[in-house]
Amino acid sequence: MLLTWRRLERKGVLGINARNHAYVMRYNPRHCYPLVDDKLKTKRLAIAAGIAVPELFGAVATPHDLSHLTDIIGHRHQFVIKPAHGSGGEGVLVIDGMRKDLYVKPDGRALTLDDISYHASNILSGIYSLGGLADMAMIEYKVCVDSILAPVSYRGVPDIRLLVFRGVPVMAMIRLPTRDSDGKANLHQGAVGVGIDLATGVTTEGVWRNRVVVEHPDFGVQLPGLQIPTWDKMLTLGARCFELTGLGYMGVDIVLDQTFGPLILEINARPGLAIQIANQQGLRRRLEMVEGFETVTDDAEARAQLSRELFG
Amino acid sequence: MRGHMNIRTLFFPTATLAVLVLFLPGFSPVFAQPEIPVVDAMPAEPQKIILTMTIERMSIVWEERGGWETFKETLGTILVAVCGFYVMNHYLLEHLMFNFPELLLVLLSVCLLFGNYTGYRVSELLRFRDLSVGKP
Repeated sequence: MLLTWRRLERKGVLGINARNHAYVMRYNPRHCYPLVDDKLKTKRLAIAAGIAVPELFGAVATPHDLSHLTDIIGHRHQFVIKPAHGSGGEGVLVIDGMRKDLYVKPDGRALTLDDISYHASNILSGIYSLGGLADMAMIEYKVCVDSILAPVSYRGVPDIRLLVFRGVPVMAMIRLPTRDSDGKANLHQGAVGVGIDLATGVTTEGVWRNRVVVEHPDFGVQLPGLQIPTWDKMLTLGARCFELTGLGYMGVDIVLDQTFGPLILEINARPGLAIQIANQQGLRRRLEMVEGFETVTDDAEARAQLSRELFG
Repeated sequence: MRGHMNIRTLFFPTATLAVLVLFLPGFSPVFAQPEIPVVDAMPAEPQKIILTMTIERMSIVWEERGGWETFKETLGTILVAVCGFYVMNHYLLEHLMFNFPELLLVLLSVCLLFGNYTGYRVSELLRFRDLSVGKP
């Protein structure tokens, strides 16, 4: 036990207490939290700043507005409904296509419009929101998986998590949906996290259920050596989120769309620590390197470049 | 202690409780005015407040995570409470705490110290075990 402790310390692995105390509480001003906890706000902010996000089709705020749901969905065959204050992928409903007048989920199950309306009404009542407060339902564009990432994703969209500290991306991983995770890209639901080399955008080993893996658990595809497309663009995108939110320590989730390229999905003010297992590296040393700079440039492009040089 | 192999207990803000216990006897002269009728309603014993808190926490856990989780957490809480009972009945501790209630301030400082702990949690030693092997 003590031996494990010392080894983790030597590797610079960041624990949850240290993360909260030395980084989240010190670098994330409390008043910035509502900007990221409410995904509708994040989205509006991002659009205003010219940062690419999945298009918002509409939002439902009150049970009365549920009658507008049909207008919002319109003739669309593909869309996503999610809670504005959700966390960990809870309450996200993906509609992949239509069969007659039924809406089909990625797993093949079909829903009527009433089912969808019922789901939205559940979201409004707050069963998926933090603290159970009344929530809003967002209806947005369903991301189409890029053809390079499709062979390693089980019925879902993989997302790239960048850990951005003082505007400098310090670590990255890609989260791949599995059969276990039901097509969701959240690690605690059973998705695989795969480390990414910041300089090149090439994947390393992965983590699944807190253990190191080298193959995708469903497809057996080798995880290391995958080149993430548009990597440089993603790094800059992640770095730009610092000006957007004012959060010194945050997790930025990026998805890669077939037609629109990298899009910001959401931003997290208390990003998890599994990224360390995926990268087989502790965060502490990297964070301390960035902490050592008196000032960090306010040019996002330069910060992305800095990240490539420091951590490649 | 919230890992899967630890005893699960209901959540209590320990530092707040310590302040509360200090506050009640401290203000009892103010409360003990017979002409103010609320006095009788004021719970003079902090354990009533703690019991109320327990019920409130239990109902929240029941709502959020279901009956089984509530059962587990309550069981853990009872276990810790029983241990606490025997500790509190130790004659030396009883003597010290009753005669020197300001010792609660020491307890409070220990609570705050725990809150500032930035080392690993026991559950994290298990969680990051794959990181502890291989090159440093």
